[in-house]
Amino acid sequence: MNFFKLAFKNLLRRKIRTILTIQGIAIAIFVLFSLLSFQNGYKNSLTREMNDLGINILAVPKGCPYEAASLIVHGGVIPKYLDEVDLKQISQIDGIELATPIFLSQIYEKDQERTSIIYGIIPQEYTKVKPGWKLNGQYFNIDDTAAIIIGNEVAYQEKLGVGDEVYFPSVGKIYKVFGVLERTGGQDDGFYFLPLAEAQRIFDKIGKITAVAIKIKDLTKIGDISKKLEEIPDIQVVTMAQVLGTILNLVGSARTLIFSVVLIALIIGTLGIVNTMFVTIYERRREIGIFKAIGAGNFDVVKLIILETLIIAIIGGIEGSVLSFAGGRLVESFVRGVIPYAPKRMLFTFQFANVGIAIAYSVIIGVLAAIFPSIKAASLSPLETIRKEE
Amino acid sequence: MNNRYIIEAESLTKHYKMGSEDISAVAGVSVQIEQGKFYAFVGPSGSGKSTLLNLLGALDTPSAGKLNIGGEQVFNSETNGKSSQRNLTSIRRKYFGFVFQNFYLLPTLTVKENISLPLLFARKKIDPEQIDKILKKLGLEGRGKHLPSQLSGGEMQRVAIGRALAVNPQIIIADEPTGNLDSKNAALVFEVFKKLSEEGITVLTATHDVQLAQNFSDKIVRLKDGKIVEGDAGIC
Ligand SMILES: Nc1ncnc2c1ncn2[C@@H]1O[C@H](COP(=O)(O)OP(=O)(O)O)[C@@H](O)[C@H]1O
Ligand SMILES: [Mg+2]
Repeated sequence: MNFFKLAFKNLLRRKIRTILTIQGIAIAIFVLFSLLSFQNGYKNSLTREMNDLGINILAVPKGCPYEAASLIVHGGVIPKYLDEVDLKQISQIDGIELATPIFLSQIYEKDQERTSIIYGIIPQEYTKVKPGWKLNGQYFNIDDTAAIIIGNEVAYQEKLGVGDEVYFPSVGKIYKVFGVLERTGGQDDGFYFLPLAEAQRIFDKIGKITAVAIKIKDLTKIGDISKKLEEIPDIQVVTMAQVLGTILNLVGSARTLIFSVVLIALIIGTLGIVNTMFVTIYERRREIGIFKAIGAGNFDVVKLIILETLIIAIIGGIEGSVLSFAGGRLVESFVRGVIPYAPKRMLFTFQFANVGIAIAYSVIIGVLAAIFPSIKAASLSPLETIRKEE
Repeated sequence: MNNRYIIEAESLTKHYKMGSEDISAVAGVSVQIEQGKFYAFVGPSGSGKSTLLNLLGALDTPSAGKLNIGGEQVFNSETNGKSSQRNLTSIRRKYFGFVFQNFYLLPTLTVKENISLPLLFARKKIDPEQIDKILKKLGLEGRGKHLPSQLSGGEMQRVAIGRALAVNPQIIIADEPTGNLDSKNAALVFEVFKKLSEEGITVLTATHDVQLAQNFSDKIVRLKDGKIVEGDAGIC
């Protein structure tokens, strides 16, 4: 005979009530759990999606039109440049995973009336901001001077392949095609990529940089990092989040709506448990009176009731966690229907930390729900409760 | 006060306020309880038997008077020596075992578990041999693993007595312990009380059944309108 066994047997005595209370807790936990998983999963997949975009921030020369970034992405030429000092300053900012320089210019062949967009890059770095790139052939080294990589569209239109040669009459130089990019579906398909130094040299802009592509470690810090970047006098910052901004706002408000509904469900669930505890304890006043008459102290009564509640809460918490593990996909499909912009990846990620949070929550609800009525019950004189029957 | 008496009450009074009416359920009872004797409190319904037993058993606080238990002052209206609730709990733990008319066994616990319950609250080790001894004394051998629902009323009441005995109390208080029993089982219960008192345990019981009281108890205390009366109390 011990308190735990006594508590357990007491619970078995009220099977239906116990089971219903456990279900109440399980549902509340399921809801809480889904909320947490969604929170995590949503953030994760959005972050991943933005990571796939590669560049998080583009640093461009100050005074440029704000559309500079989009111009650069599209291969437009801006008449201003950054230099290596700026790059160095950028690289020194905390939280930046990678800052790689880009030199961008166009070669115009008058007789052919043809414009070639030239991207000077450091491929070993630039491929990190372009994780989607797939190359047939190989990347050049930074010190190669006669190597080129071409976009898929360029290869198609100019009928070029790996190993072929490209000649720019106005430059007066032949470049060997080291690699051809697989289709990206984006602007990159139409570009020529040269080693950075070579691109700078042919346009007579040694040491000049059109923009710095920046990848940061933690996307949530993008605001802070942008602010620090803005402090560098020469540069202006364009974050890719600004591009996604409108979408995110839309998602934000839909999410707020869902969260409010979930929160209300959680509050109702919690109140249900509190109510059940109150009723249960009220009904057990006589039993509590007997306990006290046969020697139980106030503390024993409180201890017993809290123990019972803990058992219920923990079982409910575990059940709720299992439920959310199993039912997560169901909720996911529902959420996808409601949210305007849902990332392609799983929204719900099962995290063990969440099981801990869920169970901690159920225990806290349980104890809070039990503590006041049990103290009240314990303070009753045994007589008061026993006499009621006679 | 004399140490021969395990309980001494002097002008013990309990009032109840019922709206504008003031009921004296116990109206100045002075009684001295000798250790190891079997007392039967008899009297008509409403005469104050339960109220008095509750006061003597430290289940309830008096309105006035003096009460000593085991030489300890539990209540004294003159010096305002009213025991706190907590103190009553410790007094109860120290001296008393209780038996109720409705047995109040826990239905999910076996006979043995019901009997050992007070030991849990007293934080005492449960000695299976001691429990077996109690079962034997009460004629409940072989019943240890049964649930209350498998027992007759008389057996349930004997289990309840066993539960009261678990903590080796000096005094057993039994308010109408036979109220729900047939006369054969009632006699069995009173027989047990008589045996216990012979072993030195003081037994205080309230009953309607004067015949039973006369057959088994050492002393009969007659109550009427909250007071002790000499001779025949009337109804019985
Ligand atoms: N809690 C109470 N509140 C009001 N009156 C009570 C209460 N308990 C007992 N009484 C009254 O006190 C008197 C004595 O009751 P009780 O001690 O139960 O008598 P008995 O046990 O002899 O039948 C009765 O008139 C009863 O109505
Ligand atoms: Mg009574």
